Amino acid sequence: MAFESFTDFITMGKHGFYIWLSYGSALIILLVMGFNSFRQPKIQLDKIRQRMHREQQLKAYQQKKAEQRSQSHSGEAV
Amino acid sequence: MWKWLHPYANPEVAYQFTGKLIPWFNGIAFILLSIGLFLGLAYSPADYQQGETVRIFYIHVPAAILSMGLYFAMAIAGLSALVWQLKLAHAAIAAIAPVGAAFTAIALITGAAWGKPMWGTWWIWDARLTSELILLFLYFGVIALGNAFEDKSQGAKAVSVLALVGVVNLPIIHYSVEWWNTLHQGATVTKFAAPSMAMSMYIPFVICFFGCAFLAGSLICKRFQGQVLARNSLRPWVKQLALAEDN
Repeated sequence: MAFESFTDFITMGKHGFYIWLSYGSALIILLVMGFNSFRQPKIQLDKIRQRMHREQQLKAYQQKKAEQRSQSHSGEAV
Repeated sequence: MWKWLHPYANPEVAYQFTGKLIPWFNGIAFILLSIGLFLGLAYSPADYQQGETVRIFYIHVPAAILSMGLYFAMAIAGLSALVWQLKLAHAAIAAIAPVGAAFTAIALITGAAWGKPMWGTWWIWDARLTSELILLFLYFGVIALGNAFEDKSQGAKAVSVLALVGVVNLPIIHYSVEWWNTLHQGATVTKFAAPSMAMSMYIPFVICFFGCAFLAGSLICKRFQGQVLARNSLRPWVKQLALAEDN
């Protein structure tokens, strides 16, 4: 062990601030990056599902419109 | 070898393959980083000149090497994207760039925190520091250019060219400490000779480096999976995955 006590380990001979600043900022960057990276596949799948859902709704709406149109046309004819 | 590699050009196979790699990479990274950081922070001796600040070395140098290594990997992906029109190579570029940028940022920040006590300044417009900052901007450029196109396949060529052209910066970073007078010290471990440092510091460094490398590998695999899904969103297997997730 390079340190006599836990306090020595934290203070690191006056340079504790700089050392823990480096490790802290690296940890924060990697945590943010890791969190973001591990959500990527899910984010993309959610987007794809939303788009599929929109397409389905659009199709259903168009079908309904087409049916209404054909009904009103037949109504006029009678 | 081509016969062996060929199936991996299939997006679905690549997606599943990277999925199998991720838990292994995570496990190895966790073990190596735990050991490496313990050795580096608590066990290795202080430097006779720099005192305890030498412990920043165990995160600063792995991050710096990875920032350049990942850029090189991204440029190789760019080359294969341009030459062989590999769609998966485009996904790889988009996956590597943010991770590379993160490690470049870590190298710069830890370098600043090391520079303040040792050089008396957080930042100086010195050759090594400036060229590393340019590397960060190159990563940002690749990320921004990739996101600038709604249709990913359209921007792919421009992104590949940018990734490839940026490689010119890598030798500049590496040799900046020899070509110019800089505050930054010369190469300690990245040279074709025995490392000029004690084994008690070299071993924790090597362990930390591989730990960071496997961590980068895992992050890149996850982002790659996301990119593959986004670029194959009309394929039945992707639609199936999207629907399977819905519960």
